[in-house]
Amino acid sequence: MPRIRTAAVATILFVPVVAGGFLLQRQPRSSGAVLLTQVMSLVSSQYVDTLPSTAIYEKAASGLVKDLDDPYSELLSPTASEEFDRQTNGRYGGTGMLIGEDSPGVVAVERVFPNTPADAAGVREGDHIVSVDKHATEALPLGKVSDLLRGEPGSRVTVTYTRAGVPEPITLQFVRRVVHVPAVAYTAVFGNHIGYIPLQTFNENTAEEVDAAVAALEREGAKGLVLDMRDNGGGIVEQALETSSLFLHEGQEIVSVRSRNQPTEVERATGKHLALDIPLVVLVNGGSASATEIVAGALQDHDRALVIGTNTFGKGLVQSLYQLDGGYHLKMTTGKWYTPSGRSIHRPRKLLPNGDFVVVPPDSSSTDSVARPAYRSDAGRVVYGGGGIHPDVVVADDTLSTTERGFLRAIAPQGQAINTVLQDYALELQHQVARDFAPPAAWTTELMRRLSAAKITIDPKYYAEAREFLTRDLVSRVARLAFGDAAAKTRRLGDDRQLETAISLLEHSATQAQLLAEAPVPAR
Amino acid sequence: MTRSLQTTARRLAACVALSAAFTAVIVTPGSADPTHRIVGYGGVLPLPVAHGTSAAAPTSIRGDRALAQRRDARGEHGRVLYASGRAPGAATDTTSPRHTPCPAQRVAELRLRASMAPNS
Repeated sequence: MPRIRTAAVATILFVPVVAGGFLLQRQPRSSGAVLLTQVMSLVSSQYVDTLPSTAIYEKAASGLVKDLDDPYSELLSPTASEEFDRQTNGRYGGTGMLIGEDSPGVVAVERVFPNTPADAAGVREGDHIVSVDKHATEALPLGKVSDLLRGEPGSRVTVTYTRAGVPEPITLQFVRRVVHVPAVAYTAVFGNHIGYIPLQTFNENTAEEVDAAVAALEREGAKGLVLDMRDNGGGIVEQALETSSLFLHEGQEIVSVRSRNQPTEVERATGKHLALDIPLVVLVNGGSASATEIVAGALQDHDRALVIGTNTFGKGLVQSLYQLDGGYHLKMTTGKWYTPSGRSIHRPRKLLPNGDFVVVPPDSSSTDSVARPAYRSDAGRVVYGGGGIHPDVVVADDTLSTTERGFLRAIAPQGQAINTVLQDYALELQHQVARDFAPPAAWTTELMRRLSAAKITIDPKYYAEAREFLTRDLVSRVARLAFGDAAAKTRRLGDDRQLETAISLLEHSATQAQLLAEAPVPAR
Repeated sequence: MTRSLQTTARRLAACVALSAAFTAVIVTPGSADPTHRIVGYGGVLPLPVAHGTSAAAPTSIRGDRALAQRRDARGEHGRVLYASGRAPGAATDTTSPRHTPCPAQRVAELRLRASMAPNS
């Protein structure tokens, strides 16, 4: 019994000692989390300027994403998220104009889209916007002017313009409507029944619009198709898959995506397949990126399209878009994609503070002289991995002659005034022409007279180039205003060697196999 | 036997009182020194208490920190069984949401702005 008592007493004494020891222990830390909270606490309480707590959290989160050193991962603010959403959605509330800066502080209407409030109100291309809802545009960045013009469908916005030849400013009130952002702005038929589809982005409308374009061109009797994805910077992956599916057989692989902690996802053609036999050329260049490269890579690997142009950008990564609280979105690289033959076309890059991308050296694919990994298409053709989709037929971008470049440099300071003269004259001429019009010599004479009257001086050594160059521009403007983009593109076909090559090869090929056989051996 | 129980009860009461006093003595010095200062460039600045409360610090920061510390303490003393990847010290333990959200969309883009598209 005494032993039991002794044990009880010892226990009673021991418990508080141990408990005290626990309490005395220094608080253990999860070092990373404590570091973050300590820094945030110090910035919040001691930084020389006051920062709202929300700003501190946002900066911390944004800094983390930036420090990943991945140029494609980004924390989107609520405003940036809205813009991103607008671009991917393919529709927004607004007036239906494309605006740009003619010169710093001068906001010009570059395009008025049909069936929009701007079109209905009679806004003209070349008009200058001087105020939006009493906000002078002179002091605003272009993006802010766009923001002011956009808004809820049904809401009103008042815009004041100046127009060349009209002494007083013009004030118009618009009721904003849903404006459609086209993925396929127009279609055209060139040469001997060759259909042309310029695909400029992968937004929510893309597959539907490509589907409609192909169907319309086939109805018009197209015997070959050109899918022009030059300068298409990509977009929604699902749209790239649907667009590829249109040209592939059910079940054919389009792309495989390898992510962390997930099995490889293999995406296959499914749904609608409507253009399985018609010979197809895909046009690409250095501005073709990402989702565009998924489509070009799949069609090249399955020998479904002949790829013409120049090497593509080389972005073989997929980002996932996560919706966060407070309107934020996290766009984060979560996977690397591979074409059906197993190639990655990714070329590592860094993003400079000015927004430019630079290739991270050493880049084994930056020059054609460096070996790129070779793969085989379904038919056994050699296709290359490494940086970007390498075209089956390399056709360099059109470049201006030395004289033309010199002329353009010389007239650059007078660009806005020249633009105004050209646009005004084109607006007058658009009602005087038939679809197959040939520009009379009198147009050039009158154009040069108007330029002179507007006190625009042209160096005599460039006079011949000026007459030819500016007349071509005038004819293209007249054709577009009178008959649309397709007519204008037809008029400028001679300036597009890549498209001319595509048309020429398609005109000589009844089948895709013949088209591939027509192509020269790919250059490396 | 009765006497023995009474004796034990008396001793027990005395021990409890002694233990409580002992514990109080041990715990008292545990608080951080709020007067601690460092000399910084340009003058003398008070150093905010790292573990304690800082009036200027946002409430949620303090709350998160306290929770994290308690959880870390429990974890280090082996009193909590954590699911795989959820143990203190894992990158996700204190800062990430409990459930990884599903992506709303997959994108592969360099820029979305189309050259011939309305922007206003």
